[in-house]
Amino acid sequence: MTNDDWLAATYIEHKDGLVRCAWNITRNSGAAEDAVHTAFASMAKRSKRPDDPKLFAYRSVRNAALNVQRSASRRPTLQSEFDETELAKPEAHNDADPDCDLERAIKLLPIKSQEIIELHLQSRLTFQEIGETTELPTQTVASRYRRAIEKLRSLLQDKQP
Amino acid sequence: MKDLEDRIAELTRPAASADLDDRVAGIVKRSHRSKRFRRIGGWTCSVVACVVAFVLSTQFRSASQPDAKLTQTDAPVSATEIAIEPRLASLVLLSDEKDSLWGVVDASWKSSRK
Repeated sequence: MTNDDWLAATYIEHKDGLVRCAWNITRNSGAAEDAVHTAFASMAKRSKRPDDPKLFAYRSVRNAALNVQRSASRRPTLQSEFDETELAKPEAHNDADPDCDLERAIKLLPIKSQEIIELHLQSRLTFQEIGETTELPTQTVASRYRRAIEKLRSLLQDKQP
Repeated sequence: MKDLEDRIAELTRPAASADLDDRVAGIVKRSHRSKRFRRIGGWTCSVVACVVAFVLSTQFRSASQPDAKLTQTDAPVSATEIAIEPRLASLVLLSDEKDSLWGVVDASWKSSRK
């Protein structure tokens, strides 16, 4: 891979994980794609290839998503749009569907725990990579993940008759 | 019942759309183009700098030739011709007329002695 190709290769390899990473923060697919676009536009300005393009891309996308969310929260007219989660709309839930219970249980977790769970299970990042992306120690990430899974189990068991 | 972690991993989440693919492809294309232009620009600047350096060096060499120096220094210079520098002009005037000025001073000194 030449020095110029890392941007395209990183996008092709991790695009879905990056969109999910942004979606965890914005909870809006359009805003998540905008965050990925913004992150890649700023990454393209770099003259050198980063040491770890994957982690660099995740960190850039996460920061861009946080910026998108921050600017959205400053605009009250758009607030309702960003609060909307297409995949977790109340009307879209079917009480008979166990995945809907799971979605709702995930939403009850703290935002940071939700992000760690999603990055680990959906984007397939290791605890160390999550720690470097979110600027948290690896041990903290691992313990938050364990606590969040235990909490989810207890929430789902409470739901079962 | 599947393991909880497997179930979370299989939850539906948005994926990159074709529109995003196009947008990022555009960014990558523009980035390659700008880097190529930057590289070409760097070469052009180097070549121009070399040409300018060569021209300047030849100019200085011709200016420092002995013949050129002679034609400059041997030309008759009068006070009016170098009026562009008033202090220098006054010095030249003094040097041209110092004999007559000294004569005036000498005469006045001698007359005062009498």
